[in-house]
Parts: sequence; structure tokens; C-alpha cells
Amino acid sequence: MSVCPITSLSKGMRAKVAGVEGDGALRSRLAALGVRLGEEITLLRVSPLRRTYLVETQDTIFALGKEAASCVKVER
Amino acid sequence: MKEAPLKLLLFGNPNAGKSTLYNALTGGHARVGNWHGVTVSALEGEALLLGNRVQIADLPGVYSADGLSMEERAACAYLKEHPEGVVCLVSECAALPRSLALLSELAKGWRAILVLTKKRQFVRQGGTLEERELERCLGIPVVSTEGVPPRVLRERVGEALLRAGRLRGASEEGRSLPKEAYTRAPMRLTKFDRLLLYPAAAFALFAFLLASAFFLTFSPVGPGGLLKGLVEALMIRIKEAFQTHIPSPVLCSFVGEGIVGSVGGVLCFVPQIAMLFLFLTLLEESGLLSRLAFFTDGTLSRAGLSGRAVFSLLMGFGCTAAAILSTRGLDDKKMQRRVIWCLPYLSCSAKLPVYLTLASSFFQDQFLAALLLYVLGAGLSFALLLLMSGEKGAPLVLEFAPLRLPEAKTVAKALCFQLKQFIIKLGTVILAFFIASWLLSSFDFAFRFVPVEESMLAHLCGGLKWLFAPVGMEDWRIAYAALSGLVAKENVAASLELFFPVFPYGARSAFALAVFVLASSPCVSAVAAAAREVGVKLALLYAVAETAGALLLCYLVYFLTGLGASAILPLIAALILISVFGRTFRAGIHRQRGYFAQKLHRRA
Repeated sequence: MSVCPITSLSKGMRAKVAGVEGDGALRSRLAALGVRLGEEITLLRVSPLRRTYLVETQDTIFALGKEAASCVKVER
Repeated sequence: MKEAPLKLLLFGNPNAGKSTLYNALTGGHARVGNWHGVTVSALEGEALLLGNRVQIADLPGVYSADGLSMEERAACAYLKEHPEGVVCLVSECAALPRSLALLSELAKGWRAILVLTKKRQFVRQGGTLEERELERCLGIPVVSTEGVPPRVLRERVGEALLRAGRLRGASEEGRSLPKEAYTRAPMRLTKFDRLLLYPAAAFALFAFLLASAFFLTFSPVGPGGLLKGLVEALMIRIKEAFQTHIPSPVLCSFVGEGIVGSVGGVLCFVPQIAMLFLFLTLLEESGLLSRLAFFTDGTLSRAGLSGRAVFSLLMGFGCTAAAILSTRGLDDKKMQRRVIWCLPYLSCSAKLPVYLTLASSFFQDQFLAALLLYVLGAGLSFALLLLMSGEKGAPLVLEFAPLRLPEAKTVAKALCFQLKQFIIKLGTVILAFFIASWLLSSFDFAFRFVPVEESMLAHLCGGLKWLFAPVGMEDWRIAYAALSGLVAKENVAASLELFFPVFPYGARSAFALAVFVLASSPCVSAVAAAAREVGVKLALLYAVAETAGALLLCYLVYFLTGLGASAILPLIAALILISVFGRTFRAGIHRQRGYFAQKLHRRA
């Protein structure tokens, strides 16, 4: 099991959240959307320029910019 | 009998329906939109609920206690300042657990009530919710708004307000609610949504929507053009009717050229402006805007913005002032400043009359001419953004709301509101400006009724002649018309109609003038909106800099059109290539140094 940012997953892959980096504001925002330790997360789509990531959690579906996405660490 | 009026604080996630509730309770019409950031500050109003006077505050949306955006911080601060108020947690049924966690985190000691919105959608997607059970386990009154008329809603909220209590139970996120009260149906992508996520499909859809919007609005054979023709015919008949019945030449001129001619000339464009606002509203209400943001975030980041800015940018095509106000929801001030700086170059709907008036002088097809100017404006703002050095702003986190067919009633209401604003603006600022300018241009300093060349205005603006001399229009009336745009953009078209029934200067001059209008400072209301966001000094600085820049650009364009197409195209191509590669090169260096990661962790 390796830990990597969600940006290194490919489209359609599912993984478990292993950690969330970044400042407190970003972390609580992400937690409110379902990005919590141990929760499942799926990478639905990546935008053509590989800058935006569409992510699905148990709670909802949302888009993440590259900086925010690199803060979401998952294990696969 | 309560002595002090009760205070109700509407609190909750962005887009939960707080503003809709606020309007229902107070009878006001705050602008409601399917996008965060539309409530630009805490709206305070009063309502009569069950015979009690209640003060209601509609706060901007909050996602979490450690707010990312300025709006979120403002909402939390407001809450802390009013401990005597009752918190009204407004939540979409689908987001209830999250909202409850938010409530217990931020408003632990407050008395509260819960208002649930969008129940029909929630149930349709497979969720279940029982208000009575929810009340029992939460200990606070619960009211659902779905399908409830405002009058009944006021009663129910008023009654709930009297029973307000403190939230019962644990406060950690993801608290579980008993199955009898609530089962969730999480947001999932529909088939259409999945299709839309293929870049080719999305691009095709948005290109189609944009193209049809332009065609329907501007083309002479589309509904926009046809309605415009109707209004024009009506205006002519009114003018003739007045002029045959008025003996006095002064009054005749006032009513004929002054009022009917100029104001009527601008009223002609109302159908087209209405259509533009309609398309914008449909895009917003259907939820397509978040999909658009997903795709445009990549390109906008190159320009130092994020996908979040796409709404403000699109609104800039409707009204610059409103677009500037909507930037309040953007995450950081630097990005907000950059958006405000480039918004005026995205031609607002008030510039449309000017473009169409001038377009007939330099292009066969008005539709194509307007399109060209819009594209030029967009290119200009993009180029400007590329030039301005950008630090990375706050990262993009954007929730996808379910795609839905816009409700006709909501769209109609939003549209009427926009049109009403436009017409009121027309009625007050512009008419006052017109009467003043008609006075100045029909009378000389001795107050005799004279032709325009001898009027006060001619003398006053004599000095302005030289402004447009380099572009072949050494005419104080042109300078006057162009500068009148600084008060309200509609004035330019109306002034031109007033002074020149037919535009006498050639194609190159007309185009240069159009470019000046495109690039000059926005109208007074937009500058005022900018002053609210970034301060008066900076707003005025922008205005002056933009106008000076516009003048220079106008000269440059005149010069270039004189050169001929063979020289321009390679020049433009070279400019584009330099800016795109220059930016990417710079971004590459930053990436190598781990710039982004550092930036993120440095934020407190």
C-alpha cells in the first residue's frame, strides 16, 4: 500500500483517504465535503489540461484545483 | 409581549436557499442565484411573523468554521456579534448532516430553528425525511419550505421562532441521524452529466449555447433583432405624433430629439439586453455553470484566476457593476482585484447599443461586428491578466450541484428584476444626463435657443476636439459622446443619436471609437461598485488608467487599420505566442522550485 496524492490516480480509480495536507481552512472545507481519514474517494475525471480533478466522496461530488488535489493523500 | 424585536439570523451552506427564504419572509427581492457569492453582504430586513416584528439578517453562505472566503469569515463574525439572535439554520435536505455539524460547531450556545429546503429533489433522488422525528431527536423546531406559499411560511417560521431551542446531541461531523428521521441519497452523476464530462461534448455544448445566444440576440433575423425593429418603429410613430402637435420649436426639439429620440433609441435595445440576461440566468439556474467552471479552471489558472471567477466574468457581459459585486465571493483579494481590473474589457450589455450604432459604419453585418468587438474585448482582458504577475490564489474547491431544468418562475423573476434595474437606471441617471446635455447643447450662455454649434456645450467642449483628432474625428461632439460613457454607457449611443442621425466619419474612425468605448473606464455605477470592493482610491485609479489606456489603444487601432491586414495578422499572432509561452515558461520555473507547495503551507 503506497500513499500518494490523488493527482497521481487515473480516471475512475477508487482509493481510501490517508491524509489531508494544507492549511486548516482547506482541510475543514474538504472534510465538510467528505474527505476524511479512512473514507472512500473516487477520481471521476481530470480536466484536459490536467489542472482540475473531479472527485466523488460518500457525501457529494466536487471539483478540485491541482493545488488542493495534491493535498489529498490516498493509499491504494 | 416582547420588548425588543426578535432577531433571526439566516445561516447555512452557500446555495442552501437562505436568500429565497429571506425574500419569502420579508417580501423583498434579494438577488438569488445558483452560485455562491451572490449574497454579497448581510442583508438586513424586517418581517411580520405571527404578529411579531422580527429583524431578519440573510448572511452569506458558510461551508466550515475555518472559512476560506472573505464572505464566510464575515458571516461568522456577524454571528458572534449578535448572541441575542435566534439562528435559523437553512439547509438543503441533502446536506443536512453537514449543516448540523456546522451549527453545533459555530453556534453552540444559540437558540436555533431548522429550515429545510429542496425536499422534493431530495425525495426524488431517493432520500427520506420526517420533520416530526427530526424535531424529536434534534430538540429544535423544523420547518420545510418546499411547496409552501410565502404567507403560510411566515406563519410557520414565526411559530417555530417562538419555540426555538438549543441543538441536542453530539457535535462531531458526520453525526448519524436515526433512520426514522432521515436517510440520505448522496449526489450522483446522471447519464447526461457523465456525457458532459467528456471535453469534446462539453466544448460542443457550451460553444453551441454561446453561439445560439449570440445569434438569437444580435442577428437581425433572430428574435432580438426583430423585437428591436418593432420598438424602433414604435418610437418613430411616437416622435411624429408629438411633433405634429407641438407648436413651440423649443418644446418640439426637447420632446422630439431630446427625449424620444435619445431615450427611445436606447429603449430599442432592451429586447436584446433582456435576451442576454435570459441566457445568463438559464446557465446559472440549470447548474451548467459549475461544469463550465470545471473546464475553464485550467485556462483561467494560466491567467492567474480560477474556475470560480467564470461566473463574475460571464456576468461582466451583462452588467459590469453587478459582476464587480459578485466578486465578493472570490477567495482572495489579489485575484478579486485582478478580476475587477479586467472586467470592464468584457463588454457589458450597455455597450451593445454603441457597437451596433457604430457597426453599421464599418461592417456589413452588424452581428459579425458585435461578435468581433466582444472577442477583442475578451482577448484584451485575457492579455492583461497574463501580463499582470500572478501569485497563486486560494485553491479551487467547487461542489457540483445536480443539473436541473431551470424553473420558469425563477428565471422570469430574475429577468424582470434585471430589466427593472436597467429601466430604473435609464429613468434616473441617463434622463438627468440627457436633460442636462440637451440644455447645454440647445442654449448658449445667454439662454437663447441656438443651433448646437453655438451652444454652451460647444464652447465647453471646444477644448476636447483634439482628443480624437489623431483618429480623424476632430469633433467636440465625438469627444463629448465618448466621454459621456463614463457616466453611463447607454449615454454614448444616445449622444451619438442626438448629434448624428447618420454617422459622418469613415469606417476606420468608427472602429477606433468603438475600441475606445470598449476599453475605457466603466460607468459610474461600476466604479462605485469597485470602490466598495477595493476602496475609492484604487477604483478611481483604475478608471483613470483604463480611460487613458483606451485612448492610446484607440490611436493604435486607427494606425493599424491604416496599415492593412497583411501587417496586422502576423503582429497579433506574434503577440499571442509571446504571451502564452512567456507565461508557461515562468510557470515552469516556479513548478520546479516547488513554488506551489510552499505557497500553500505558508498560508496561516
